[in-house]
Amino acid sequence: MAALIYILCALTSGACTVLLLRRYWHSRVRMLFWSALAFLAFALSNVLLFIDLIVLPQWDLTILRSLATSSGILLLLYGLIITTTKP
Amino acid sequence: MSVIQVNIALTGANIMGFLIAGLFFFRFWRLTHERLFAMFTLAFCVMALERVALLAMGSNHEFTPYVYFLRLAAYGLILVGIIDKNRGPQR
Amino acid sequence: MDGLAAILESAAGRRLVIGMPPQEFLHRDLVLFIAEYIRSVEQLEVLILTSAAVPTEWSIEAVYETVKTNRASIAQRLKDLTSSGLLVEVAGDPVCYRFQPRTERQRQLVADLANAYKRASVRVIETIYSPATASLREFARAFRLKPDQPDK
Repeated sequence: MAALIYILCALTSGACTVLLLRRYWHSRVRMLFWSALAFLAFALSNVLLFIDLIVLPQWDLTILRSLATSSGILLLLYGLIITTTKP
Repeated sequence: MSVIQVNIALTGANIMGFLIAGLFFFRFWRLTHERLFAMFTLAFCVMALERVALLAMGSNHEFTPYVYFLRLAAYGLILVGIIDKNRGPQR
Repeated sequence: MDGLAAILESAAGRRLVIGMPPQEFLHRDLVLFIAEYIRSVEQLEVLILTSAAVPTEWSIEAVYETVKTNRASIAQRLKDLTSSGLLVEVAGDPVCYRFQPRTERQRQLVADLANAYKRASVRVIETIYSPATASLREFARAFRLKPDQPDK
C-alpha cells in the first residue's frame, strides 16, 4: 500500500512534466521548460523513494532523494523568478 | 558532517524552497484568480509540511510511513486542480 | 484584474515587472484588457476586424479573406471571443458572428485597442506576449488536457 502511494506521487509529478513539456513545445514560453524540468526532478525523487523503501531497503538513498528534490526546487524557483523579473 | 546532518540541512533547504514556491503560486493566484494556482499553492505548502513532519519524527519512528500520506495529499491537490481545470466553465 | 494593475504600478518604482509599462495610447486599462482577453496576434486581428462598424456580421470565410491564417484556427478564435463575451454567434448558414460586448467600457476598449494597434502594432504585440502574462497563461493552459478546448 505504501508502494502505491509512492507510485502515485511519481506518476503525478511525471504527468505534470509531460503536460508542461507539451505546452512548451507549442508556445515556447521559457517558464514552462524550467517548471517541466523541476517536476521531472520531483518525479525522480519519488521514484528514488520507491526504490529506497521498497526495492532496495538495505541501502539508504535519503541524501540522493533530498538532492533530487533540491534540484527540482532550484529549477522551479529559477523559472518562477525569470518569469516575474525584467533583466 | 555526518550523513544525518547533511540530510537535515538539505531537508531544511527543501522546506524553505517549497514555501517560496508556494508563495510564488499564491501571488499568481491573486493575480489571475486561476484556481489551479491556488491548488499548487496548497500542494507546495503541504509538501513543506510533509518534510517538517519527517524531520520531526526521524526515519525510525513508527509513524514515518504515514507521513507519506501528506505527500500523496499534496499531489492529490495538484490532480484536483488539473481535473477542476478541465471541468466546468473555462477559467 | 486588480492584482495585475498593482504589479503594473510597481513596475515604475521597482525592477519587478509584469507586462509592458503603459504608453500614452496603450494605457493601463488597455494592457489589462489585452492580458485578460487577447492570447495571440491572430485573435487580436479577428477581434479588431469583427468590431468594425460595417459589416456587422462576419462568417468564418469573410474573416479568412482578411486574416489569412487558416480557417480552422479562425473558427476557433471566433468561438473563443464568443465565449469571452465579446462576440455573439448568429445562427444561420453559414454561421456568423457579431461584435456585441457586454459593456460599453469593453466596446470603448476594443476601439482603443484597434487604434493602438494601428499606431504602434509592435508595442501591442509585445504586450500580448510579455513574459509574465504569457507565462502564467501558458502554465495554466498546460494543464488543459484537451487541445481543442476554447481559450478564455
